[in-house]
Amino acid sequence: MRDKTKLLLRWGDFLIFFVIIAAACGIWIHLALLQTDQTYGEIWLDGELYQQIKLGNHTKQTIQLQGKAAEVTIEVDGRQMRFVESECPDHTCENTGWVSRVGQTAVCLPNRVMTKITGNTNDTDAVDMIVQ
Amino acid sequence: MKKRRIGIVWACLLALLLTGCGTQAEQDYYTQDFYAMDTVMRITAYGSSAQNAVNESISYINILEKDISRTRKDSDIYAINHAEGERTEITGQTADILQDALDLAAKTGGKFDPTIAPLSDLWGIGTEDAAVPAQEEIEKVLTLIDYAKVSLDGTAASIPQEAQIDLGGIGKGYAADHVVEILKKNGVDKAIVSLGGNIYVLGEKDNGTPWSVGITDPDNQSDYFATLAVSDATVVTSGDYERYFEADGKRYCHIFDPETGYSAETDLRSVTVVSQDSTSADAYSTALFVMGFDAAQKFCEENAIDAVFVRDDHSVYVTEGLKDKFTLQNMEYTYAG
Amino acid sequence: MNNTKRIALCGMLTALALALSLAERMIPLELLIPIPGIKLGLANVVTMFALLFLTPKEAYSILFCRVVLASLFAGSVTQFLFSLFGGMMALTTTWLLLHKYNQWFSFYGISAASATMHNFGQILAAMLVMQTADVIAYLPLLLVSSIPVGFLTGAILDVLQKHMKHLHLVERK
Repeated sequence: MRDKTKLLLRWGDFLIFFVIIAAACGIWIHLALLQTDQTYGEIWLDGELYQQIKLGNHTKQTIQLQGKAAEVTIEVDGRQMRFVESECPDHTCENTGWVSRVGQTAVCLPNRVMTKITGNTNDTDAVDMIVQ
Repeated sequence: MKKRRIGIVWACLLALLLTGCGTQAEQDYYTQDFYAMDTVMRITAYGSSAQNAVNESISYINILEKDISRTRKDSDIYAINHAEGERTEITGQTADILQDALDLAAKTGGKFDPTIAPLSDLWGIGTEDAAVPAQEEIEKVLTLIDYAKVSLDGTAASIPQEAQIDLGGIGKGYAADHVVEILKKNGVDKAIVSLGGNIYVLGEKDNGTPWSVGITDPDNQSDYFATLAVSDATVVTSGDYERYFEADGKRYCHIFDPETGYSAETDLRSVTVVSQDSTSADAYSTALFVMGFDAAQKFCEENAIDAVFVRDDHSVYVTEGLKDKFTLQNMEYTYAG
Repeated sequence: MNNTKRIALCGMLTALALALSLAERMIPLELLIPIPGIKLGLANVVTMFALLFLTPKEAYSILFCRVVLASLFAGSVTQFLFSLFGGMMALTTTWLLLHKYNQWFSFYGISAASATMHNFGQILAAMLVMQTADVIAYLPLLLVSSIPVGFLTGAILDVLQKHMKHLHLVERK
């Protein structure tokens, strides 16, 4: 019986520990690899973060929000996002087009809505700021 | 028994190991996005005093805007513009920036002109009723545009009736210069200041590594076509893509030629000026854009201005001083050298 | 052991498990190891004990009652779901290892496996409830933590079952 045995740990225990540590390492490495190019699409309304969307190849979303002046529609498709419709006088934001690289932004000034791409990037070409 | 003890010791060690993973490096920077001067701004400062420095900078910009806004009824500029030609007392700061504007207008031969506002109002670019005005309207408005008719005497200013002053052309540059002063005063020696098209990078990104500033691709506003490796410098771009409208298949951009009264007829798509002084860089980028490539290139040589020109045939010209800092990233453009 | 005695024992064990899971919340383990959901899993000792000396059916009942009561005392609906999901997975694992492959594993390994499955279950429930895969980031550390936690509960169980044998309160199945 169990209580008679002097040996505390049996070989199966080591198997269990091994499987646990292997699983932990596996998940950790997997996450670390994923993280390097994980980007987020952020929508800021008047200086406040309105929504953050995790961007992946299959992300597809249309977001409507009430801007400072009128309604704004933002489309998220895969790893990129853009303004599709904004009821504002200048429509500059729609002309900006898709943003997808970390650090890129698009702004609808009259509505004070800004979209930007954030995330960790290993891209050595990544710029600190874009002059417009 | 012994083995159990060993097991417990291992358990404790593991627990200790686990606790070690919890601590993460504290972020040592502070960044803030905000809206001012009809644009979106962002200041990112590094170091322990970053937050205070950024907040002080934002208050400064708000005070400056209160002085030089064209639309705020309590501003100095509004007072001058609505004084019907009378002399108006203004603050020392407004006088200072107005003096800068007049000096830069003189230096660029009026290609940059702080009195151009009636013309941009007439065209209405950026509003819903943007349209090509009738020729006689343009000619009528052109008579109002002359920086030389602005008289500034100490802190008293006056302009002819119906003329308008708009310091928007150098306001952001002026703000950037002063924000950098505020940041330095607060002990910040590393920061990125981006005031709607005027960028100032303070210090270096890392020891020995300059900041990387992207220059907007005129064909695709969300992207950049080239990068500049700069530290302790301001980068200012003027381009035809910022605000424009199209009529009869022609693109009219928001930068006007004070001589013709039309959107600048230029062979340039964008001009990027790199210098230490954001106020003048702001005015120069506009003036160089209006001048067109040949005159602009000559002006840069004469005045030792560093600039990047994008021409309408996708060729890129970079002045001597910037050649080792410039990297073309988009192969649709050709680097003319 | 007659029926009344069994029911009384089940009640006592449920109360004990409940007390342990509530007491455990007072130990600020999350301060030491900043992962949400990390705990010692002392209540697991009780369910493992029940598996050892009572029937699986009774062990599952004790677990279910404990989880329901614990969320009633302190907790939310989501917490209830996480605990139930995790608890069920842990108990099933323990039962399988204890009764099917008893000769291969000691209490230490079984406890560790049980804690692991509890964490898996919790994270799985969190992923379903919150509709996001982000919580998986906590899993690696939680998994590793289940080894020392397994040692702790295993040691307690080891001591416990030796003493219980002398008491003759229950016969070992």
